[in-house]
Amino acid sequence: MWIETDMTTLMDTVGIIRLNLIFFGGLLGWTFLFIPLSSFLWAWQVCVQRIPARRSIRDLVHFYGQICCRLLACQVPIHVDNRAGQLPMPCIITPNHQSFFDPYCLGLFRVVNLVFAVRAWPFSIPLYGRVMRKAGYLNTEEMNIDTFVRTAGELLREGSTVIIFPEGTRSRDDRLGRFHSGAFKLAVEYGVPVVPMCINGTGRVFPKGSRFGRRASVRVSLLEPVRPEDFSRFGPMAHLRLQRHVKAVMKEELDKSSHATSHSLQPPRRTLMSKAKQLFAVCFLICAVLAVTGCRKSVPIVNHSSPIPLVQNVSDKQIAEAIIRAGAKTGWEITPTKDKTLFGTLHVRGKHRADVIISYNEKTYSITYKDSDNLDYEGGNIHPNYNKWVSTLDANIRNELAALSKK
Amino acid sequence: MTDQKVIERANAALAQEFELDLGSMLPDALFREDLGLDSLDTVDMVVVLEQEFGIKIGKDPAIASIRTVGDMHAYILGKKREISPSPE
Repeated sequence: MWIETDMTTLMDTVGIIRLNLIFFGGLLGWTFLFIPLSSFLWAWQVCVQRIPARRSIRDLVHFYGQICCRLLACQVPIHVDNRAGQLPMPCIITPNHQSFFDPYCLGLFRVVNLVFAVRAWPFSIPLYGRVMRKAGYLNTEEMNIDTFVRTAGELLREGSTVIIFPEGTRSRDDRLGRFHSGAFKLAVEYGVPVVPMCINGTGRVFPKGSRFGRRASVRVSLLEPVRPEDFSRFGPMAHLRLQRHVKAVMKEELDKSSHATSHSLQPPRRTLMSKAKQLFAVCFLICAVLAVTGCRKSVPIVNHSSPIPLVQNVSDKQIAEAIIRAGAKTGWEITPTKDKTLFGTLHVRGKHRADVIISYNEKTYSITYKDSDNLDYEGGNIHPNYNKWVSTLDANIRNELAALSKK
Repeated sequence: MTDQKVIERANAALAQEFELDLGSMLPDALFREDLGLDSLDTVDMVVVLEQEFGIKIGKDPAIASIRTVGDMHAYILGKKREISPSPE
């Protein structure tokens, strides 16, 4: 009996050592590989593809996180469940916090232009801190709430996705801690949806205060977006009610997450050496594809249809003026054409043009593609920047209409 | 409403909103060090108390000097006396 117990303990110890060697060793190796690789990719994206520098850094960081998740998935099962579908742009993602690995979990999903709002200490991590500053991440301890909301709001208006951990610190017991309301105040102020993200198990893999990881199942879920307009009836308490609702849905999901089904990144039943080979092959293939293509492919056009907040005693003319003001914030020239319909056109760098039709009734408004020039339009697909510009326009229109409803 | 009722309502409203333990809301408990509330929570605390008592606090400079639960009680009771000076 004692021999069996000793053998079990020995096997567990061997497993823990293997997990830590592979994960942390791989993380170190990947980080050193990423430094020169990302420099090349950044230069390519900024100089050749004309992508804004900060946007490039953010997307490269996301790529870094994707590989980190693959590294962990070699050793522990990671179940991924996206119920949000295609994320609204912009939006605020609110993950719970169990371990240092949680920010990497964003690499499990197709999200772009991520900006993390975190406390001061990550900015002092060598290399990481510098990249975070270059990416324009927010240090919440350096600013008061008004400055934070204003700065984060500008990022949202630019089309960024802001990540805020509402607990503010890691939970010690896998249960949701008290939420701080900054993320929800921001959502209400700028009319941006909140996407709850539930991370379960990373706290058992990397417990707070422990230096070593251990095997445990991880589950990461993106829940359906929650619109702040649905809480406008609570007036000044809207952000607190939104916070309460989001926390309730997250708690429900975390409580039952072990029973839900999803696709998973299962560690293959292979030897240690072949796992390392597989990881190297994945990294090389990804780098090769990015280096050879380096092109942003066309994507399906996304037309928008959004509800209009309840507005009383507001005329069609005032709604049209609100839409025109919203467009002016990002360079759209919007003019009324006929009853409850406007035409919008955007010129970018004198080379690109996008035209949209904005129509509205008492309950909803819509933004529909009309025409474009030099945006690779073909068969319903278009350059991805078009979708980004229109999403920003949609967010600004929602903000202006929300402001009308408060008057 | 008696002063004790006001204190109980204020404590209950803040305990519910900020998930605080009612038993830890002693008069000398510090909001930041003992109850873990930060500057943003202070702003929300004002909103909660305004909604609970139907009063307007806004950006009253006196809020900045509230450090303990007892300070908050004294502030609310002072506001109550401003609105209805006659003793109950």
